[in-house]
Amino acid sequence: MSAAFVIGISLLYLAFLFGLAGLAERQAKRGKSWVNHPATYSLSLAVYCTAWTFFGSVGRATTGGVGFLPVYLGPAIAAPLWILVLRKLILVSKSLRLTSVADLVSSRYGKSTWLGALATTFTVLGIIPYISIQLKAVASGFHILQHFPADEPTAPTQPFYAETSFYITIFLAAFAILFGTRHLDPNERHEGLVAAIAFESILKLAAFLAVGIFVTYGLFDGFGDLFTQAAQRPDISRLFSLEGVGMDAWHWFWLNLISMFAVLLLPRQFHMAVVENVDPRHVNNASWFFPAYMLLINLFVLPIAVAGLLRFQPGAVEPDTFVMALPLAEGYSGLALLVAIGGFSAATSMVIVSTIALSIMISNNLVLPFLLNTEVVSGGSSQSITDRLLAIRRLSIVIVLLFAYGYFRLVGESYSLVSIGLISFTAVAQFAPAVLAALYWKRATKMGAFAGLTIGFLVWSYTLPIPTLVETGLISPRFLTDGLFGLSWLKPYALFGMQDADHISHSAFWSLALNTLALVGVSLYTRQSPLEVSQADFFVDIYKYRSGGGLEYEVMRRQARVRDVRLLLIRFLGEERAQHLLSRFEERHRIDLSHERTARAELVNYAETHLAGAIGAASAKIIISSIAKEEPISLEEMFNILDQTQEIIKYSHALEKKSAELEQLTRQLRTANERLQELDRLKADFIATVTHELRTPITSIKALAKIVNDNDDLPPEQRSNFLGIIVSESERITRLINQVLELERIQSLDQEWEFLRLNFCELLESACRGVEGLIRQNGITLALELPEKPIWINGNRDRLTQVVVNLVSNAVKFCPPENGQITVRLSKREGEARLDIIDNGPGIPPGQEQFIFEKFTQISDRSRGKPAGSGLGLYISNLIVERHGGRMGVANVPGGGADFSLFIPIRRLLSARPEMPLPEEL
Amino acid sequence: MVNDKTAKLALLFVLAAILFNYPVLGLAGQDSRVGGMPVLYVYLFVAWLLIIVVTAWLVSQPTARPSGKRGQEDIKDEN
Repeated sequence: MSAAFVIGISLLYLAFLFGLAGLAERQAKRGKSWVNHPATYSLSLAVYCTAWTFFGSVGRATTGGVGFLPVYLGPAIAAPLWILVLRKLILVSKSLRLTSVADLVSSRYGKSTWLGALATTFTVLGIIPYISIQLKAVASGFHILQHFPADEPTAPTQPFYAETSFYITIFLAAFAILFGTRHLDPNERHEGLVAAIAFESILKLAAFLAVGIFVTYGLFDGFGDLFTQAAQRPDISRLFSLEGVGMDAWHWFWLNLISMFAVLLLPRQFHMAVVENVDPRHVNNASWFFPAYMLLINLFVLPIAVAGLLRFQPGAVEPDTFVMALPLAEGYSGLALLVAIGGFSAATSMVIVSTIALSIMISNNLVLPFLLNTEVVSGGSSQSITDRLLAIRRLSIVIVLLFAYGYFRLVGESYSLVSIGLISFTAVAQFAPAVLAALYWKRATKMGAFAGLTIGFLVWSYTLPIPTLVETGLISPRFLTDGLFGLSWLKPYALFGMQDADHISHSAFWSLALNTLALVGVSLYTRQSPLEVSQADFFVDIYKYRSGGGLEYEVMRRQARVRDVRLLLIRFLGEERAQHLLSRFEERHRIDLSHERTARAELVNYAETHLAGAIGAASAKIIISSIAKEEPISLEEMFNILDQTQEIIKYSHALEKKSAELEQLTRQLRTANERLQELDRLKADFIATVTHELRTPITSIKALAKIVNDNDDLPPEQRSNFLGIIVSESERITRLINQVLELERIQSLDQEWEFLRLNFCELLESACRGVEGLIRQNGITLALELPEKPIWINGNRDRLTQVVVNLVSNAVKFCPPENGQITVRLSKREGEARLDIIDNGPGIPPGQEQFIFEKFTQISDRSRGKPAGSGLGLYISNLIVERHGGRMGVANVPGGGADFSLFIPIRRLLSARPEMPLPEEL
Repeated sequence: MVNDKTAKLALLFVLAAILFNYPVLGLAGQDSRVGGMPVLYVYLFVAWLLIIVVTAWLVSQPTARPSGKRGQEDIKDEN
C-alpha cells in the first residue's frame, strides 16, 4: 500500500473521530446524552486496552504463552469488588470534585500542595514512556502496512518531519485540546471525548475479533486444528504450559496485583472511571461488562501468536506485528487495513485520555499552586483568568505529547510494548497503598503518605527505568553487574541479594513492600493536623456524610465576607457559573445571600469544593485562605466536632424513624376513619330499608281500613277478607320490629352471651318439637337424622334454637305445598359439628348464594311472588353462628332443593360451664 | 454499606483470586489437551467466563436495604 493511501485513511479516521465527538456534544446540548448509559461507561473503561493489548500481547504470547493474561486477569479478579471500592472512590471524588489521583492524595492528606506536586511528578515520569510506546505502535503499524514483506522488521530512522507518527501526534494533541479542555472543571463531563473513546473501544474489539476469526477459522480449521498443528512443534507447544515459558507463581501473582491496581489508578483509567462518571450505579454494570470485553479481546491472542509462529520463519517478522502480517501475507490487505485502524484507535484513545488526565494533574497540582499569587493567575478579568487556566492545561497537553514523542525517538525503539507498559504499571501501583489508606484507614497521615510514595518511587526508578538507561549507553554496564558504588546488595535487578525473581516482580515486591511499610510506620509515629483529621473522616465515612444530608461538611470554622466569596467564584469560574452556583446554594439552604454580610462555614466550604474542581484541592485551599478568617482549632476540638457530627447524624436517623412511625400511624387512622364512615353509611342504608319495609304494610293497612271505614255497604265476605289482610300485615310489622330489635341486641357487643356446654342432638330435638305445629299445618314430612353418640358443643341455647327454628321455617316456606319434605341432619366432622337442613323446594337461583346471608335479601321469583318474611332471618342466623365461631353455607341439592349447612366448632372453652355433668368419654 | 450482596461479591473476588493463582493454576498448567486445545488455555477462559456470569447475576439482584433510601448515592449534577 502506498504511503499516501495509508496516511489518507488514518487522517480520514481522525476526521471521523472529530465529527463523532462534535456530534455527541451537540446531542448532549439538546438533552439527548449518549454518555449517560452504563454500556458507554463500561466501553469507556476499555481505554485500558491499548496498542499494548492490540499488538503487544501477541508478541508477548510468542515467547510467554499465556503470560500476557495476568494484566487482564488482575482487573477481572478485582472487578467484583468494584461495587465497594470504585463506588466509594467515585462518591468521595464527586463530593469533593477531585480531578485526579494526585488531587485525591493531596486532598485526603490535608490538601497538601507538596504531596500533590510529588504525586504528579511521579505519575508524569511513569506514564510518558507508556504514551511513547503507543506512538511507536502507530508508527510500526504504518510501516508494516506500507512495506510488508520487508527486509528490515522495523522502520529506519527518518527526520521527524518526514515521519507519519509526528503528524499523528500533532493531530492527537489537537483532539485532546479541542474535546478534553472544554470546561475548567473536568467533573463537568466531556460528552464528545467519552463518545469517541467508547466508539474506539468498539472498533478495536471488532477489528481484533475479525483478525482472530480469520486466522483461526480461515487459515486453520478452528482452535483444535491450530493447536494440534502447534503441538507437533516442541518450540511452540512449550508455550502451552506455564512451566514451559518459565512463568512461576511469584511472577504471576505480582503481575496480577499491579494490574489490579493499575486498572483504577492509571491516569486515563481514573479519569474515565471516576472523573467522567455520571452515575455511580454504572459501576454495577461495568463490574461484569468490562471483564467480558477483556475476555473477548484476549480470546484470540494465543491462537494468533501460534499461527504466526507456524507460518513465518523465526525472526522474519516482528511478533508484535503478527496481527497485521498474517492477513497481509495471505493477501487480505483490506483486513490488514481494518486491523491497522483498530490498533490505531487503541493507541489514539489511550494517548488522548492519558494526555488530558496528565494535563489536568500538571496544571492543577504542579503549576497552579505555585503560580497562584503571581500576576499570571491573579491579574486581569475573570474571562482572561479562565482562559489562562485552560491555556496552561492546553500547553501541558502539548508538552506531554512532545516529551512522549521525544522519548519514542530516543529510547523507545529498543524495548517491546509490554516491557515498557509494565514499568508504567509498577509506577502507578505505588499509589495503591496511599489511596487504599485514604479510603479505609483514618489514621494515615500526610507524612506517612509522603514517605510511602517517595520510597516507593525511588525503589521503582532504581530497579526498573534507571537500568534501562544502561542500554542507551548513558550509564556504565557495571552498574548492573556490580551494583551502585560496587556494592553488590545494591544491584538494581537483585536488590538486597534477591536473585531469582524477574525484573517486574522484583521491583513490584520491593517498591510496594517498602512503600506500605513506610506509609503505615510513619503514620503511626506522626500526628495529623485538624484538617487532615476532618478530611480522613470524610473519606472513610463518606456514606455517613452522604446519608446525613449535606454534602458540605462544615468542620472547619471559617468565615468570609459574602462579597469576597462571590468575587472569588466569579474570578475563577466566570460570572455566569458563579451566579448559578450561588443561587443553587441559596435554594438548598433557603437563604438570601444578598442580605448577609458574613458567609457561613457552609458557603466557604461550598465555594472551596467548586474551586477545587477547577483548580485542584490544594490551590483552592490556598485561594480560600486568602479571603477566609480561620479560627484556630485544636485536635481535641476537632475530634469533639466529629463526634458531634456523628451524634447529629444519629439524631437525624432517629428523626427519620420517628417520622416513618408517624406516617404509619396516620395511615392506620385514615383506614379506621374510612371504616367508620363505611359503617355510618351502612347504618343509614339499614334505616332507609327498614322504614321502607315498614311503610309498605302500613300503606296497605291504611288503604284497607279506609275502604272498610268509608263503605258501610261492603259485602261481609269482602270486609272480613280486608280485615284479615289488615291483621296479617300488622303481624308482619310486629315481626319486623321484633327482628330489628333482635338484630340490635345481637350486634351490640357489650352484651355478653352465656355460653354453656350443651348437647346439640338434644337441642335439635327440642327445637324441632317447637316447629312441629307449623310443619304439620303445611303437610310436610320432617326427617330428623341424628348421630348415635351425642355431640357436645359450647353455645348459647336460646340463640341456637332460634337459628334452627329460623332455618326450618325458612325451609317450610319454600317447600312445595303437596309433598314437602325437610331433612335435618347432624353429623360430626373433624373438630366441628355440621348441621344440614335440606328442603325439596326450588333451590337457590344461581348467583344468589353469596347474597343470601345479607340484610333484606329475599329470594323471590316471579311465579311465586314475594315470600313472607322480613329478609333479616338468615342474616341474624349467620350472625349468631359467627358469634359461635362457626360459619354457614348454602348449596343446591341435585334433583331440586336447597341445603343450608352450618358448622359449629367443637372445642372446650375454659369459661364454659357444663349444663349437665360431663359424660365419661369426654 | 456492607450488605449480603456486597459480601457475596467479595466472596467471588476471593474465589477468583484462588482460581487464577497458584497452586490451583498449577493443576491446570500441565501440558495436556482437551479437544486439541491446551488445558491451561481452556481452563483460564472458562473460569473467567464463569466469574463474569456470576458477577452479572449477583449485581442484577435487587439489594435489600432495610434502612437506607434508594438513590441516596445519586450524585447531584452540580452544573
